[in-house]
Amino acid sequence: MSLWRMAWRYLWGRSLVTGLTLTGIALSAALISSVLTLRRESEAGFLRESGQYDLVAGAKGSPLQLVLSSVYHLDIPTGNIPYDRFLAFRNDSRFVSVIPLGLGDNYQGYRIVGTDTNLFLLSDRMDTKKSLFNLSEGRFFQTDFEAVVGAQVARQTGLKLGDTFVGTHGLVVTPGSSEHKAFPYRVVGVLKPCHGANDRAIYITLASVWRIHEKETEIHRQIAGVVSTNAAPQAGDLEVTAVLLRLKSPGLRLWMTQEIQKRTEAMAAVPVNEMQKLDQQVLGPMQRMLLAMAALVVLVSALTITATLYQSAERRRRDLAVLRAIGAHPREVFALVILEALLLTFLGLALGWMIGHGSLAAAEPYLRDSLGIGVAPWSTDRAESIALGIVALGGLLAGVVPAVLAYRREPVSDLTLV
Amino acid sequence: MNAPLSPAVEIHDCRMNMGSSGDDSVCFFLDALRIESGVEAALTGPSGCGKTTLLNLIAGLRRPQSGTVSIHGTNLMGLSPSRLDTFRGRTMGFVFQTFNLLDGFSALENVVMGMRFGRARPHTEWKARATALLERVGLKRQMHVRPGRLSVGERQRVAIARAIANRPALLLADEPTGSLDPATAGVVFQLIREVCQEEHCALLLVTHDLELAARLPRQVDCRNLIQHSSVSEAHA
Repeated sequence: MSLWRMAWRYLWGRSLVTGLTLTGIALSAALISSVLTLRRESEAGFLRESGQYDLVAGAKGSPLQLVLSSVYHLDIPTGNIPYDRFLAFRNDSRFVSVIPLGLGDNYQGYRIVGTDTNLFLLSDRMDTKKSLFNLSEGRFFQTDFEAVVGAQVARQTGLKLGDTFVGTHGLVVTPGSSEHKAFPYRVVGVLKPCHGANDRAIYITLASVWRIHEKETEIHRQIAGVVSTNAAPQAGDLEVTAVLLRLKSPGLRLWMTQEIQKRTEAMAAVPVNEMQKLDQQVLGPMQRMLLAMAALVVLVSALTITATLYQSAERRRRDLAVLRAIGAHPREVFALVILEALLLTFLGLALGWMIGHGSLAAAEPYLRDSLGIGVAPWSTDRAESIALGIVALGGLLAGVVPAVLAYRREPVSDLTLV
Repeated sequence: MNAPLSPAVEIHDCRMNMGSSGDDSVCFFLDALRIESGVEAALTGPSGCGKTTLLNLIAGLRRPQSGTVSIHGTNLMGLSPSRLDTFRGRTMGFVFQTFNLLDGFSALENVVMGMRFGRARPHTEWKARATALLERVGLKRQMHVRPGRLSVGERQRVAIARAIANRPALLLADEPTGSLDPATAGVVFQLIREVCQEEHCALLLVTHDLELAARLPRQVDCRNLIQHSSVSEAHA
């Protein structure tokens, strides 16, 4: 019978204490695994998306709000800017891509984004051979009231090619919101999943947004007793919510931000900078706090291992003395106690890894749909391996004290214990 | 292990500090003891006369401050702690009054443990020999039962099987019948003798039961063998 098997049997011999100790280690490992994985994946996801655009221009307000509303489809926009401003950007040779966004409506909570077909021509900056928008079926829109829906929208709402739907006023679902029943959209394309914000949007032409809201403005005027002119919208009346910009020289980002801020009625934000600020100021401290809690749990687990093994070795003084009497070396007794610590630690770590990553796998649809974070739940990176390695070392060290005490004990006094 | 020709036990001029008693330390003295190979001997004497201490000394579980303890020609004082453990495992078997079986393991595993830590070779025969020994002591059907579910007599049979599993040259039995009723004690005593003879193993049996001791060829009364005194007396 090997020492491993003996150690295993001793652990099973006190299954309740073993189970509780394992649970402590597993929970700490699960916390560490899930926090680190979530941090890594959210960072990667945010940076991947924020890195697609050098600048976002929009109405003056919070730069973070502007980025979240236009790049991640999460927050409400800061307002609108004149369409002329967009045209000015388009005519500026320092930009290689100038994409207008017009927001205002939703379908079952998913934002309807007015834009132009230049959006679909963008390449993925992380892999320039790939396109940022890829169709799983259908085509991109060509005329007004044709819609291209994101993968999550299609999955959650059941929209498919040829379906028609109407938008609801506002960016979120609120009771009593009016539907634009006179302006149904027809689905002409469904995007492939990108595990990002684009999965959660419905893309239509910018002109569709304008036409719906012209009609709305006219209705409002009629209600207010203002005589309708029935005139076509003037270019000066048109607005966009935000403009996504790619620069020829991304190094000019900050300089361009200042220029837009000073010389125009708009504001510009650098998405990468805003997301890094969010990470450093909000997400980072939260994650550090969670990791500190995990470290405390690890410490408590290590102390529990020490106490468990010490108590176990004390209760087994007679057993260990018998082993010595029948020929076991002190180093074998030491190894037996250390192996118990190792088994406890590694079982706890394995269980914790499975719980941590399994929880992420279970939460993956929620993270993807609600927070826009695409998570690869079963991958482990170097930081997580190091953190779990430290836990393993802690568990091993926790076994050393009781093992040394067992090693040094003379068996003769314990042989008569009943 | 077959018994070699040198004496099973040979002790000379042993002096051992037994710890303190009040303000003074108590010492254990033993001038000489020789037990021949293959002999069955009983160590007798009243409680506290030093029977178990002598057994521990012979097993190398206690070390004297001076003197020599030789088992089959090997001076235990000359062995490192690890070598002493190995030597003990290979050369000696133990049967205790309180059985000292490992509760978390079956009868079979307890017997295998005796061979595993006694470094018996080859490994492949451990299970077969343990099975044969348990059958020999009448526990064929209880092989996979843990000690807690065996009667006291059955536990002592497991302990006997474990003690001889490694074919020791010397079996040390400390009050092996002390916890048993008279009928079971007689059966266990007879079993110990039989297996020692079958395995050609010397027996040193500690007992305060003079009737039982009289059934062995040799009796050693510890009162005539061991002297105790305080350190202050020893230096006087």
